[in-house]
Formats: sequence, structure tokens, C-alpha cells
Amino acid sequence: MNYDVIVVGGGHAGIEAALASARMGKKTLMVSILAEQVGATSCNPAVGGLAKGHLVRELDALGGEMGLITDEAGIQFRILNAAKGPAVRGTRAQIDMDRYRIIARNIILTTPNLELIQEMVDDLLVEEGAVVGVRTNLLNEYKAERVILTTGTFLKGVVHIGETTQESGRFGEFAANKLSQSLLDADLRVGRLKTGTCPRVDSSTIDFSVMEEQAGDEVPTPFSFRTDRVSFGEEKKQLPCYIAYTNEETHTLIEGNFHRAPLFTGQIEGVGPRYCPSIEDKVNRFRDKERHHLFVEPQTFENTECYINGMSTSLPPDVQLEMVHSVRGMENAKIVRYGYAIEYDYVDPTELTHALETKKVKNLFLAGQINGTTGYEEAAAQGLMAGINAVLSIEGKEPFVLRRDEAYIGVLIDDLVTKGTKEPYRMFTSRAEYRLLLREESADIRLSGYGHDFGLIANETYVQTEKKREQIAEGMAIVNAHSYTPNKEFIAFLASIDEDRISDKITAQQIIARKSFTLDKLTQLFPEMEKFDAYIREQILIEAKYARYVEKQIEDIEKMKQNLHVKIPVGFDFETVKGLSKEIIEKFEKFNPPTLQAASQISGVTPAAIDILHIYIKMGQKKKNRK
Amino acid sequence: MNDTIAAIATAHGIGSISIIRISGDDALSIAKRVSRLDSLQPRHATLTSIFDSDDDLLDEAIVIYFEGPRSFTAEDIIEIQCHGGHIVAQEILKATLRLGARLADPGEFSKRAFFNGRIDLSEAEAIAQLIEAKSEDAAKILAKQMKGSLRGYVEDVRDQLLEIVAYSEVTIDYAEEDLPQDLIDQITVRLERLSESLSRTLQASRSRAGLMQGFKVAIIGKPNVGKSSLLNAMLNFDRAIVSDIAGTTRDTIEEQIRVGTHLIRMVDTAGIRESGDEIERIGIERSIEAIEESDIVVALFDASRAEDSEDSRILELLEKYGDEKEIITVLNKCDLQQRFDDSFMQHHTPLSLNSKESASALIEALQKIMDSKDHSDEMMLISTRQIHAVESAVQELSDAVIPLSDQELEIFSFHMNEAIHAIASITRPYEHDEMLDKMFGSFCLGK
Repeated sequence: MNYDVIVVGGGHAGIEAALASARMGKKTLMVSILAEQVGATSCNPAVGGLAKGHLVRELDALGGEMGLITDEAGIQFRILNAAKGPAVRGTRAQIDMDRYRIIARNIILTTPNLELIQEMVDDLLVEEGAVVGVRTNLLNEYKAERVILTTGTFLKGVVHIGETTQESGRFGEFAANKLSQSLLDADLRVGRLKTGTCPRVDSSTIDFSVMEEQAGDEVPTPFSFRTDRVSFGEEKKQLPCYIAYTNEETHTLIEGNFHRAPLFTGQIEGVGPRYCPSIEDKVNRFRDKERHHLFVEPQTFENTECYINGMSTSLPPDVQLEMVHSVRGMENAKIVRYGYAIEYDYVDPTELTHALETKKVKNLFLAGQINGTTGYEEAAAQGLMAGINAVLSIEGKEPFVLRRDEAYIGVLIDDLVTKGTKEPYRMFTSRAEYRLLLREESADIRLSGYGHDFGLIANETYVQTEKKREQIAEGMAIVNAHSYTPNKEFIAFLASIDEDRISDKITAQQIIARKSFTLDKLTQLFPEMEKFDAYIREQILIEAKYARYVEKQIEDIEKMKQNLHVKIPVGFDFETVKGLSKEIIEKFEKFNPPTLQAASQISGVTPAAIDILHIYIKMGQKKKNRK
Repeated sequence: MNDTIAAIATAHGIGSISIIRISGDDALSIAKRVSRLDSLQPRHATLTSIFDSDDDLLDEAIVIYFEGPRSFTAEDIIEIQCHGGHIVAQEILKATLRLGARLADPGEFSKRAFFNGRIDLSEAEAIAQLIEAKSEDAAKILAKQMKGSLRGYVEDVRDQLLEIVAYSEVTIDYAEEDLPQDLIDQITVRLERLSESLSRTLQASRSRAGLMQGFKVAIIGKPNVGKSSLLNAMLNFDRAIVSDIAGTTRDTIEEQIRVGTHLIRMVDTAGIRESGDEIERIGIERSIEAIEESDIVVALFDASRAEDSEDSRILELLEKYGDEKEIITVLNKCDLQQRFDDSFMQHHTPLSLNSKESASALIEALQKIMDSKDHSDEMMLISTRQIHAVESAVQELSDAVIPLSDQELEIFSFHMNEAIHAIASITRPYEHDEMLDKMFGSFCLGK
């Protein structure tokens, strides 16, 4: 049985990888341990959030599926940071996790060129340094031009609850215990990470009346640029979440049971994420904090079971139950599924190229948690990129690499393959140095051209996006063509729209950049903009507000690009810059990068290292000039 | 492998000892071979004979071995202290070169120290300047910086800035987190404090720039008031230049006077000596320029003539610059009959000179002012590069205030990051991940 592309795993990375490959015309096979669980959300029932919402939007603009499924399965939509600046707003949806899974599986099963088979991959078939297929636990061999591994937490997965451990890839499911050996045989660096999940509670045993209700946005915004905003906003039915708190009793209880916490007893060796710590870790590290937030989130539209977000734990069952009972509103709650920690194998992502292909095994691509990330969105983004790149490499085309100033996806992959990670990697807006350029709302304008080129974005959608781009450009041209002097007429106008007067000549952009300048005022200043719809007007307003900063960032990018073009002299002795770190010197010597650009792409090379190398080259040149 | 460099570290010329310094992987083996010793104990001075490759004795010398990484360059270093004079040191150097060392480029030891992480940019800068320091003041400040005092200060500022950014970033990236309510207020207070401290440093560095580069002194006053003879008297104080003819020293690009530990650099000496007509044409503009360029202004008035319009214009200038510049007013020709109303002079350091007196009273007054600049513990920035870095940081911090109060945190963070980059350029480049470490270290995060 021969395929173009085999995708191992049916989680969020696997789904995007398989769909991209099949939709780009390649005969694709998805191998999943349990077909039932394709598209399962193992952790919290939510998609998006800060920076993660950005990833979903970018994925959507490139033709990914996560945004569309979320719009359909979503049961609550909120824009976080709505009161803060537009660049740092993030959309988040609570989802019906059952529906999400069913929709995802149905898409996989109905997509042309794509097959799904329920088997476990045990071995990679490698010939002459290149992967040529996989062998499964049923001893089937599947051949393929490219293989994409999206194994999530399944590689040698071990679940911890209290003193008990069991080999599982997700609670109750088989772990993939053999495949890691193929990776080790290929000389890939394999490490161990840990992540965790929270207890789930029977909703009928929770007293929601004593908890703070957290409703969705009045007019919900969909994730996908392909979902119609208006009808979505009118028709979407939403459920609330609830906020509860831990208290002193909870903390005393947890502290009293540290000796039974696998995290502290040495039972768990893998490194867990600092930004998503377990409750025992939070209590341990921040002892003087009086309470911790808990979000009680319905898992499905019927709200029969709730996810107690914020209580990630691997404490023993009896402690978990007491812990839940100590929380106001859950005094009599019944746990349905206990929280657990899971340890699993991952591959050091510096083993990968920016195309997510391993450097040591040709034609082998990795995406998702196997690369050390955490989060559905991070996984999905890599899945899509791995899928696209697998296809491009079959076709002998250049890999598709997004730059850091182009997309959060670019930041994500660049961080992973150049710096690696020692803990599960999660996206933050603060990781993106160009975040003012990378707004959620502009993802389609930034990226759908690529999606269209790959045939993943339909023509009609692309035409729509281009129209938006043109209208925004038109609006910005109007803004940029206007400036004002403090004459009577204009001062009176400013007063009429409740804006402070001006005393000097000022550009339209500067006035719009004021915090007090709202969307309504834009059409008062420029009545000709009434022809644009509200969305376009808002984008114009935002662009004008950020113009000054964006300009500076673009300047920086240009400067950096120029710097990156700096040539490293032939025969350059990297030894002389040894002070950085031995590893980096060794890498430079091994790859002999011709430019700073090439040097910066070597894994483990930090921007600061490039700075120092740059200084050094400049010093060398100066000396030469003097001679 | 790092190649081994060698150079004569002491000044060219005749001295009682010379030092040859060798740094690199082969330093120790080269030292053993020239000394014929089997081993050298780190950080011990060993008296030994030094030979060339033909077994000819070159000198009796002290050899000290500094074992890397606990050495200046973080590599193995050997210092050979031999007898002074040109020939001996050269011969020993040649012997080390024959054994595989390479002649070091100028500044290469410091460069290695920088690239090997032993010193940061501020310290490297201090070393480079110290070698060329022109006054004891400068040397003192540089020595402090070389020991890492500026690094300590910058690291502290950078750390605080990072913490502030982490506060802001956490508010952005953890929108739903149960964060302290007064986070923004805390940030505001800390920002103000930091901004003040940086501005003080900048202010102090500017006002004390004289300690580093020499104090710039301008002499102003109307034509024929005696500027030129005062200048000459001051110069005579330092060196014996005696001439009655104006313009004798005009060829000197800059006239410098050493006073105590300080260096004085005279401003616009050409102007002081120009002929009367020309001064009258552009006199006041020229005075303004001289004042602006200077740290200390010496304003000269003629006691024997009544105040005229030119005097009063100069008095106006003194009024205007009184807060910015140190001013000494000098009443010249006090030995003649006094016709000048000197009641205004209490505002400034007043001084009366007569033509027969030397400039020693003035020199004393200058020294007092210069000494006073030295009594501050404020951090001192020593190069335009450093001053520029702090200036842009202060500017970014002030730009950050409005977005913070408007809660436009993404713009606030933008300015803060620019500020960190600026500050970091003084010592070492900024790694973005440092902020994340701060963030997770300070807050309990994550659902």
C-alpha cells in the first residue's frame, strides 16, 4: 500500500497535516490508535485565548480547519483584552468537546484523497537515511514519500495519579511504547516532558448559584474568516462559565499531602510547563497567595460535566476529592474523572529545519507536542505547516517558512527550531517582537495569499480578502493625505466631537492615534469613509493608531534584514569568538554559514549571539580598512 | 582551539622592567619552554632564567602563570617580567613567537576578554580609555568602571526594567488571571523612580563630563578687558610660555592646563586673541557660542572703566546661563582706580585681580569648582555611546508614561522594550527570554 504522505496521529496537529496534504492533492493516510478519538480535546474544553487565538486565525487564513470546527462546536465566544489595545486582543471559545471530535472525524472521513486507519505505528521504515514508510502493531507496512509524526503525549506515555502509574497515551488509551526506539535509532535527541490535566466534575452536583457567572460576548465573533460574522453573531447559542476560588483550607490540604504528590516525590521526572503549573506547584511556589482562581467550564452543550480549570493535579484521588469539596459551590461535588499528570517522549526541536523536517532523517516531519509544545493551537499550526511542507518537498519546491515579522506561526517555529525548549512551549503575545504588526484581525490580510497559492483557500475567499486589503489601503491613503492647522474652523470641529484642541500643525494620523479618538469620530472626520463597513473602518482606525510604531518596527526589520545579509568572510575563524558558547562555535564551524542570515538559522543560535558575531565581523573589517 | 597571542605589555622605551604577556592555549607550554621549567604554579611569581631556542640565556625574569578561565582573557595567560630596555623584551618576545605564539593586534587582549565574557562592553571601553586617560580624574572614574561599577548599575536598571515589562506582559498575556489589582499603580511608581535615577545619571555625567574630558573653560568679556593676558597668565601657571604678542600660541589647537587632578581645556582661544574690530562685529554671538560649549565661564570686567552697554549685555548672558553653568566673575585691573559698580557680583564666584598678580587666585577658584564635581557618587557615563544609550532609554521611558496611564499596555511595552535594548547596548545584548523568566518567577500563572 503506497501513499504520498502518512500522518501518524489524529490530534490537532495530525488533522491539519492530513487535511493540508490531501487538499493539496496528495494521497494521504492518517494512522490513529483510536479512530473514535480523532480530534479529541484531552485537556480543557476551549480553543484560542491570547496568542493562541492569533495562531488559530493565522491557521484559518492559511486554509486550516481548527477555526471552522471551533465556530461550529463553540458554546461560548469571548474576546479577551477587549479593553486593551487591538494587537493584544485574543479570541477564545469554549467548545462542546464531543461535537468538536465528531465534526473533526467526519471531515477527515469525507475529505477526498484522505484515508483513516485505526492502528498503532510501531516502527519507522528508514532506508539510507530517509524514511520510506511505517510498520504498525498489526504488522501492516505502509509506504510513503513523506511521513509526519504527530504523536502528542502518546510516545511512552505514563499517567500519574497519586502513587499509581499506568502506561497510557491519554487516560485509558494505549501508549505508543515502540515508536520512540525508531527515533533513537535515527540518532534523534529524545527527552521527557510532563503535562497535566484537571479533575472533571458531574455538573448536577455543583451549586453554580454561589459562583460568579462569566458569560460570553453579547455579540460573539467567529474564529474563521470564512464564517459569516453577521449570521454567526445572531444565531450562536452560548453557555456561561463560572468562576470559583480555592481557599486556605484547600491550600492546607494540598500542603499536608506534598509527600504524596508525584511531582515532589521524584515519581515524575519530566519537566512541566511553568506557565500552566499544577495546583500543588502553585501552592508550593506561591505560599502567601490566599486564593487561586478556578474556572468551571462546561464540557458539552448539555453541561452534564464540568472541567475545573486551574486545578491541574496528579495528587491521589482522595486528596483530589477533598480538594474539590473545599471549594465553595462544590462541597458535595462528585468527580467523574480525576486529574492526572502525563509524561511522554519528545524530540528536541533543534533537530528540525524550519520546514519541520528532521535534519537526520530525510522526508520525516514532526509536528505538535512531539516538538515540545503544549496547546491545541500550537499543535494545529505546526501540523498545517508540516503538511504543506511535506507536499512542497515531494514536489521539489522550496519550503514554506513564515518569518517572525509575518506571523505568530513564524515565531513559534523559529523559536522551536533555533532555541529548542526545555519545558512545554506555549505561545505568548510577548514572544512576538513584532506583535503590533501581527494582529488577530489582520491574519487573513497577512496570510491568505499563501493559503490561496497552495490551493487551501478558495478563490472567492481570497477575492474578498483582497477587497478588504484594498479598502483599508484606500482608507489609509485618505488618512495620510490630511493634516490640519489650528484654525478656528478645525478647532470648532474638534470641540464638536469632544476632542482636545490643537495648537500646532498636526496630521490626521496623529489625531486618530489619540486614545480618545473613537470609531464614530473617524466618519465624522472623514464622511467619505461611511462607504466602508464597520470592520474596514475599525481596521483603518487601528492601522492609523499604530502607524508610528509599525513604521519603527518595519524600520527595525529592514535594518535586521540588512544586517543579516552581512557576509561572514571566507575562512572566518569562529574560534576567535569562542566567548559566546562552545556549542555555538562548534555549530558555526560545522555549517560554515556564509551570512549572518544563515548563521541565525542554525539551531541554538540566539539573536544576541548574532549581535556579537556582527560586532566581531565589523571589528575585523575596520582593522582591514586601516591596513 | 584558540591561537596564542603575545605582546610586550609595557610602554615602548627605557624602564626598569618590561612585561611580555602571552595568552592562549599554548601560553603555558611556551613559558615552560623558554624557562626550561617543568611546571609553573598558578598565581605564583617564579624567578627563572629565560632562554632562546639556541639555549642562549636572554635574561633573568619573573614568570607568573594565570590559569584560565580565572585570568583577564579567560584563557591561560603568562606574564614574563624581564629587565627593562628595548632589546631584552624584544628578544624574549621573538622567542615566544618562534614557539608558535602570534603577535597580538592592538587591543586584542581586551577583545578576547570581551568575547570570552570576562568583561562587558562598558569595561572594555573603560580599559581602552584608561590607557589614554589625560587626567587623574578620568583615570579614577575609568578604574571604577573597569571594575564593573557601570555594569552593576546597568544590570540593576536592566533588571528593574525587565521586571516592569514582565508586569505589563503578564497583564496582557494572562488577561483572566487573578493578578494584584494595583499592578498598574505599582508599575507607575517604579517607572517614575527609575526614570528619575537614569535622568540623574545623565545629568551628573553631563555636568561632570569635565572630569573625563577635561573641564571646558571659556573666558568672556568686552574687547581689551584683558582676556588674552588672563589666558596667558593661566597658561603660564602650567607651563612656561611667555610672550607679549597675541597669537603666539594660536597654532596650538587646544590649550590645556593641568590643575591638581584636573584638566582644563580653554574654549575659543582664537576668539580671545582676535583683534578689536572683529570682536566688536561678532562679539556677543561668539560669547554665546563659547558659553554654550563650556562647563565653566570666566566673565571678565574692567574695574577701571564704568559699566557700558557691552558689559550689561554680558551680564544678561550670565543671568541667562546662571543655572546651567558654573560662573566666575572677575574684576580685572583692581590696582587702578575703581569705576565699575560690582554690586551684582555676589551672585557668582567673585574675584579681583590686578595686572601684576598671577592667575593663581583664579586657578584656585577653578579648582574649587572642579573639586566639587568630584564629590558625587552618581554613576558616571564615560563615552558618547553610553550617554546616547541612556538618553534614548530616558526618552523611551518618558514616551511610555501616557500609554501606561491610558492602559495601552502593548504600546507601553513597546517603549519599555526599546528602553531595555538601549540600556543593554551599554553592556551586553538583550535576550528576549529573560523577560519570560522574570514573568514566571514573579507571578503565579496558569489556569
